[in-house]
Amino acid sequence: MSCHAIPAGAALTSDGSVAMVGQPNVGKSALFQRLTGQYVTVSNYPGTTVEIMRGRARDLPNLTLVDTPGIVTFPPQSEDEIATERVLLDESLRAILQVGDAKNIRRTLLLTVQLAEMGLPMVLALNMMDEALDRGVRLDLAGLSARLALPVVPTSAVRGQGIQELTEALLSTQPPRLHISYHTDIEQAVAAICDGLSATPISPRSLALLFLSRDTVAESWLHQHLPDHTYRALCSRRRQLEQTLTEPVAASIQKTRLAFVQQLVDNVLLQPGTEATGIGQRLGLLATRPLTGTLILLGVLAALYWFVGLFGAGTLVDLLENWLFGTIINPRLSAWVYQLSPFPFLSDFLVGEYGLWTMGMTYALALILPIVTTFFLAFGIMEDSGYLPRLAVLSNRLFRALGLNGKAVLPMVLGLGCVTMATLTTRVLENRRDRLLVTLLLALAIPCSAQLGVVMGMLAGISFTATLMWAGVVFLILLFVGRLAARLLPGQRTPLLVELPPLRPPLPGNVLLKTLARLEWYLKEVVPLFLLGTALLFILDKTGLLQTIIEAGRPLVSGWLGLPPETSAAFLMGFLRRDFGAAGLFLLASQGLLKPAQTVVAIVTITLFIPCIASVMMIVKERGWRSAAGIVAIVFPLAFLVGGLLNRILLTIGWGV
Amino acid sequence: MNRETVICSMCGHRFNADQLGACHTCPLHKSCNLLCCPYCGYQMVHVRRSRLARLASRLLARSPQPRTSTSGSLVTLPPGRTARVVALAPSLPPARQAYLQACGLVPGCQIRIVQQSPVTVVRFDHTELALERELAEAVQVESD
Ligand SMILES: Nc1nc2c(ncn2[C@@H]2O[C@H](COP(=O)(O)OP(=O)(O)OP(=O)(O)O)[C@@H](O)[C@H]2O)c(=O)[nH]1
Ligand SMILES: [Mg+2]
Repeated sequence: MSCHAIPAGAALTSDGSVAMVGQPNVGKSALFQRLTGQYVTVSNYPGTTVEIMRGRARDLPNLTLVDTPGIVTFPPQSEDEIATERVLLDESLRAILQVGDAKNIRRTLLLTVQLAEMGLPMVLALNMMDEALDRGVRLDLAGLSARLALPVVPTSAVRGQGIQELTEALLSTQPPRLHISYHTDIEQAVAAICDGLSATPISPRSLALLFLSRDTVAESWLHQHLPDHTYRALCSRRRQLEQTLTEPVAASIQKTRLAFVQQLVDNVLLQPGTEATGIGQRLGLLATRPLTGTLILLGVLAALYWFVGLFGAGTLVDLLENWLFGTIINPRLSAWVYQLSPFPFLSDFLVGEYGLWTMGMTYALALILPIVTTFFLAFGIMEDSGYLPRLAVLSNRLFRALGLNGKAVLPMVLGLGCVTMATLTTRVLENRRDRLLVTLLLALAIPCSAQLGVVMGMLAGISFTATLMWAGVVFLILLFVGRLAARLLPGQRTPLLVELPPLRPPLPGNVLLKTLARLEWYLKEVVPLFLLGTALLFILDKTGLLQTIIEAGRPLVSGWLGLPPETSAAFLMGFLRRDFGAAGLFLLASQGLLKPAQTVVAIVTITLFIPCIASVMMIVKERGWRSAAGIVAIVFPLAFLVGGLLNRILLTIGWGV
Repeated sequence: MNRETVICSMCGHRFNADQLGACHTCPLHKSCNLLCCPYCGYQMVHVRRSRLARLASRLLARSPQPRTSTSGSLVTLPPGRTARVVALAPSLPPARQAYLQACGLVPGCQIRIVQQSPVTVVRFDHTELALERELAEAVQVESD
């Protein structure tokens, strides 16, 4: 088989999938939404999509579109990029749709040549054309299309421009014929490797180039599909090449490609355009400087506190819990159920102390829903503005102390929304060590929105000092455990390197859509768990087991933590979801059963719990069960240890007792 | 970087701060932080001499003096300066080098320094990149 043999595939009429590939944050997901009508997360920071998403294209019958995480260049350097390359090698694709940033044509084209070499039918969508035009970038699109021998379509995903043209181009696309000649030694090695390859998912030539660049995904594909001795022969051929070449193979290949791209750029970039000069630009500058950046951060936090803590957790919860549920729905519903139901047992199950409605649904709808709604709204605005990556710059020093770099701020901040999702986002970090460290810290010390809201509501009822104390203790634990774990885990710290996207005004439609999607997820995931937890408590209560457990927990809960024995039930709920436990504490506190010191101890303890069952499953999936077991084994004892110590300290200084 | 040229904030006249004739004869010259424009006579604070003004301008504009001078590397340039990339030092891990180049930071590329602290931020083409000091040191540049 020759190196130029290409998988057959003229017009895309039969079944199959099309991969959308491109650099991070260029609008792949936004375009995917336009083409499929299906919701996927779109945010203004690189690393939004970390998993493969599939959807049926509306106007392309039989075709499945695959949205992938952004990849900067091959070989991939992080887990999300690896997932993208897996799609290319494992999916037997019908075509590739590259999405590129029209204003950053050089970067786009470097990826274009790598994808075009793969020999699959291909279309290049130059997205963000609106921004490119605003900045005065002018491109010779026809010339570019001719030089690359592939369709080039200008699009603007947010304005919905060029979608029709893109669909048409996809329907009639052909494999591109792009040939770049590399260093003669490399060419010889490629030819030798190609000889032994047949039935490859991408062109043998590009597979050989990836293998020679020590691309791990290509390596494992070859290892799986070739007989052992053939694979070993390839490896020794590669070693031979590496010894003759003066520079790394990957570097030599990239140099040739860059030269090719430079020539292309010289020909097709008519006007490079000017730097954007808007209020967004200026704000972006201020947000990363130490002084102004800190001020802006404080402002953002204050706004967040006001909107989520005071408005959401205060006003809205008050309205829903005390008024709507407390005085209208629940009393009437209870009266009605007790009247109609012949079995007191059933009535208790529905509207009793541990009733599905009075406890499970009331917690979920009256206590936590308003809080997460306000949080998701505020969060969506932040995500879309492009502010989050700027936090990486500002917080780099802090994370340096934890043996990490500022990039870790992204999963940590996302963890304030949902720790489970944030665990998935650790994929964007460069190495295993960083991912494990951040996963541990997320599981231990980052409260998710639901819990945060409840905690804020409780603390606001005591004093600002209590809030500071809670935040301070949790933060200290985060620092302490982070430092210790960074010392103990083998491996080196990686210095910060991130791209800062332009600040953009958040699109109300997208923010709203995102909030709704997250609320839907919340209702689907949290409500059943809350109901399950309530049912469990109800059964334990009715069988008298709850009393036994409370008694059994007394030494720990009352003796060590200094809390009333009833809090055992809350902690029990906390094993299911820590916000469920926090909600239980909230109720105890509002019944006046907790003194200020006890409240602080209880919520510090429960904040340090494992977030929820879903997050444990996510840790198992992403880090393996060993790491998950290790994390669980560290977190729970530590939570109680810290809670107990805090109790002793507060007793000694006599605060809030 | 010994640029003693001052631009008068009133009339825009450019003059050399060290060669103001009248000042040298003044008995208070040594400790004086003020400058007078020889063209329009407008009096302004000489930022480089006044400790307070220096502090304030550093806090506001964050234009710290380069900490060490690794000659020709990205970290030596003050914010606002433009430069051309000459090379990426081989000390850079290959994967980082590939990443930077793929972002468009290639020899010949025109860049502008946005800030140096807490980490270096540069702009080129339509890209903005933040790099920590040890990476920025490996980017060799030629100041315009
Ligand atoms: N002005 C403009 N903004 C766009 C366009 N397409 C996407 N965006 C914005 O660019 C940002 C990134 O969009 P995404 O669709 O999340 O990008 P992505 O390529 O999926 O990013 P990753 O998943 O992180 O690789 C969002 O803030 C979008 O609103 C466009 O055509 N014009
Ligand atoms: Mg995406």
